[in-house]
Amino acid sequence: MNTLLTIGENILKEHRKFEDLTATEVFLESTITTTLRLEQWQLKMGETTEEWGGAVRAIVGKGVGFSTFSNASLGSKAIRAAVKNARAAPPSEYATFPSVEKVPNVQGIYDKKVEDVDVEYLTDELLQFRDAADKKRLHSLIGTIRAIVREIAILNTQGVKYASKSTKLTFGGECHAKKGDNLTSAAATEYSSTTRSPIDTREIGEGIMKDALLQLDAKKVRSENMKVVLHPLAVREIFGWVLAPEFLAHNILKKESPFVDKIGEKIGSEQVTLMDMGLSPEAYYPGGFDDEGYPRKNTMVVEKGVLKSFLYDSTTAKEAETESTGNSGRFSAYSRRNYAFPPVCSTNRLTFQPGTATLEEMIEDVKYGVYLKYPIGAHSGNVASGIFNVAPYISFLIENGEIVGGIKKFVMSSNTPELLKKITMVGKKVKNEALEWNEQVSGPHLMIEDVKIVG
Amino acid sequence: MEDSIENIIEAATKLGASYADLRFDKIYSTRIQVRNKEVTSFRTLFEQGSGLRVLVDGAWGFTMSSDLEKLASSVSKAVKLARQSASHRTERINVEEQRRFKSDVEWKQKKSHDTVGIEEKVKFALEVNKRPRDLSENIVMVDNVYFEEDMSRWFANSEGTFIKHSKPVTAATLRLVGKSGDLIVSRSRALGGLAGLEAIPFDKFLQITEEETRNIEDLLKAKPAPSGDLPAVLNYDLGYTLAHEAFGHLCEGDSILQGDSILEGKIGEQVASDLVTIIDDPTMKEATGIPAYGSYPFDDEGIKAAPTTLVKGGKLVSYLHGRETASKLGQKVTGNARVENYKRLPLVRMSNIYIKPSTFSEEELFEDIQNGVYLVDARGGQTTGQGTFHVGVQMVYLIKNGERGELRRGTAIAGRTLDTLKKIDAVGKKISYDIGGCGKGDPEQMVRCGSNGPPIRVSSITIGG
Repeated sequence: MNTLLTIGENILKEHRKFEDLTATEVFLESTITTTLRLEQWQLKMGETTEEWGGAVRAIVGKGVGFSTFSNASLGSKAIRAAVKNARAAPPSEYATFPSVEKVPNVQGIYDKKVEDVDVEYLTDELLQFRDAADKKRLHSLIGTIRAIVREIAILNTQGVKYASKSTKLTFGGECHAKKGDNLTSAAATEYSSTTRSPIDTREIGEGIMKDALLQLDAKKVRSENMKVVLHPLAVREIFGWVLAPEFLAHNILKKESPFVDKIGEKIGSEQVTLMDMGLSPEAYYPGGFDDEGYPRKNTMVVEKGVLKSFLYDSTTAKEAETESTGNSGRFSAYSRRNYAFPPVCSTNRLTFQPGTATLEEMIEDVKYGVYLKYPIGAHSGNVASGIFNVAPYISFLIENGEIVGGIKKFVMSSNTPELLKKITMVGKKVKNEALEWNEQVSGPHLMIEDVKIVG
Repeated sequence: MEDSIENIIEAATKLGASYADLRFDKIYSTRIQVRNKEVTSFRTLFEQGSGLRVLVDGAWGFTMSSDLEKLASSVSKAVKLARQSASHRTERINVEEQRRFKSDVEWKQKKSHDTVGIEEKVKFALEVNKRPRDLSENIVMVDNVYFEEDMSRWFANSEGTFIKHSKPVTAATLRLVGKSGDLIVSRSRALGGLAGLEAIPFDKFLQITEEETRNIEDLLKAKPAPSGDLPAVLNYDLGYTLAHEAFGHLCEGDSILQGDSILEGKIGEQVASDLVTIIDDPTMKEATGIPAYGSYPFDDEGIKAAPTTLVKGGKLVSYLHGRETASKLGQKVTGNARVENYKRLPLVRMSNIYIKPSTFSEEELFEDIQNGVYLVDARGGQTTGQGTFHVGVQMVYLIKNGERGELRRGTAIAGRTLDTLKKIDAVGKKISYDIGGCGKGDPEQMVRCGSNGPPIRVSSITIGG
């Protein structure tokens, strides 16, 4: 039997010691990561880490208590703490754990070759990235490659007992170019679950070098409403921080979303179709069940601009008197997925369904506008209203259908309801950009009309 | 445990490490989160584990485990990975030998966490959540957290330093969302410190809760903020955010080495107006005597904490350093290497960065502005090595003829850091203290930072509408 499940069963047995305990849940997570990092054209460090942790949720009457622990030997202590907290907690009408359901088997999420990865393979990938970038033309270069093996197990006293193992190869590259006092940046991240679809680190190196050099020709942008082309990283940042939470049931139930009571209404342009791809092997945290053991599924959220569904976990589904969509995740707003956080309603992989436009077609369509590759500031957006302001980290000015240089300074102001309606072109499918945040959003290039830019 | 730690370090040196250090953490915390009457998280956390860093043949290796025995068995893997990196280096990483310390520091609680029962803390958290909704029908969401932590960290290195530091943390946070028609506004506040329950008098936090409810009511009646380039007074929180996000990150030695800072090579140059002095001080105490939120007695490389002046009279005089960056740049180590926990490697981080107060009263800051804005409280901030920044603003007041006027809704400021610092034409005399956090690195590491400083005035700043 899976080791995590065995540990989980032993902890769950402690349940019998507490007469007033209504239900118990144990979540366990083990992540083994091998990392190599390159800085300034040289390998700098290698890491091998084993992150292990568990969490217990206990229901006493209608009170819910939670505790976490970083070592299996602390399991008994953790269950006692969770029970103590549950006894002190006020009753929750919606406290519930899932019962046993058939869980889909998502293929293609584990590769033994990644688990057994040779450090020489990781080194070669990093060196290819390094060699693709021209040292004479760049100021600096940084690259990080990781092989990750992640196992989780979820068990509860309702009979749920599932385990899953997945692998990831991830790569992040960053470079800087400098001319006088003008320092520019470019970055890219990519991941793959298997070595069968390897990451092209050479291509990443060439791509970011081109972006960094192009921005050395710095331009000023006018203050006016204009067309903006969003790169997938900008889609992830803006829509991930501000839009995705607006479809999560806990925000809907607490009226903290501009889309409350809008099911069936047109909230975006015809080009906008958003699906939460719960069963996608391409999700950063893939698998057949969510973090409380409910089966995942694909959920249509917006279809051709019409709002179809929100996303639910067990608790919010009970409150809304509907069924869970398998959208429970253990995240905090500023963290990766982590056992130390209680499960909350979260996206699995909210994806803009690809269109047919190429990036070149989008750029050609712009007489005067901005190509925003990576913004800063999206995290300060207001989920309740959808209002956000961002500034550029990597951005380009477009004039007469051509990129003419980089832009250092502007504020782009908008709100998500408005932005969805102004999407006029959706790009073709892109590679997996690293998505590690709670509100994961994936998407191709998007063309948005009439966006306010203060230059 | 002390013996196990020393044995692991010895094993690393025997395998060829020229330097090794180990951090062992033991953390116990309780967190109660209430969201619209519902306790959404009632967590007790037991966390312990250790991380070992080795320097072998001029490259780093690292391993980590929640189990000290497992860590001992993975020392050779860390050494092997360091050698793999070293075999592809032409230049060796060095750390110069530093003074060794044997120290056991405990920051005590005046009113310890266990003097108040868990039921009382739940009652407090529920009352904070209830109060705004009792006071205003326009409040649609109240999200508040009560948090307490007792943490001990052991640090040891191959040079013979062995430090134990224990500290308490207590904090309360509040986020309110108000709605009227289609208009939605929000406010966030926090109170806390590196202390016991004395850091958050429950009555005081309830007063803050009432104050913020009134702010929501006012914001719901307010018009949008103006946009464009305007003269502005930034309250202490925004002044701090400018010092930390827009400037402080650019001073971090690892950013300098990575070629990701416009301050590279600018020591001795004018980077701000001559009214500006910026200091990072991990020994800072608040007016109450409690250590400021980013304080520590030793950094996570065992270097004794001391204040570092970064900018003096507008001139850049120092960067912030850990041991590696100081060695590489031939500068003095400043004791700014920090880790979030045992799972991560040290990065160069700020502690309590602040703009040194000057002589201007609040009235004097306003009086020369004919048409400008008073910007109050940050909502997140971000910077780039290129020297651009973006900071969300929670509330805006118009300034007309030297007087604070009409309230406007939140907005954002953005711009080029050095341009903005050179436009500071007045610095307030009153310093305020607050709690904050900062994220950096991959994987991101969150560390506590003091959010302290005086209000400042800038002759012009870009405001997004």
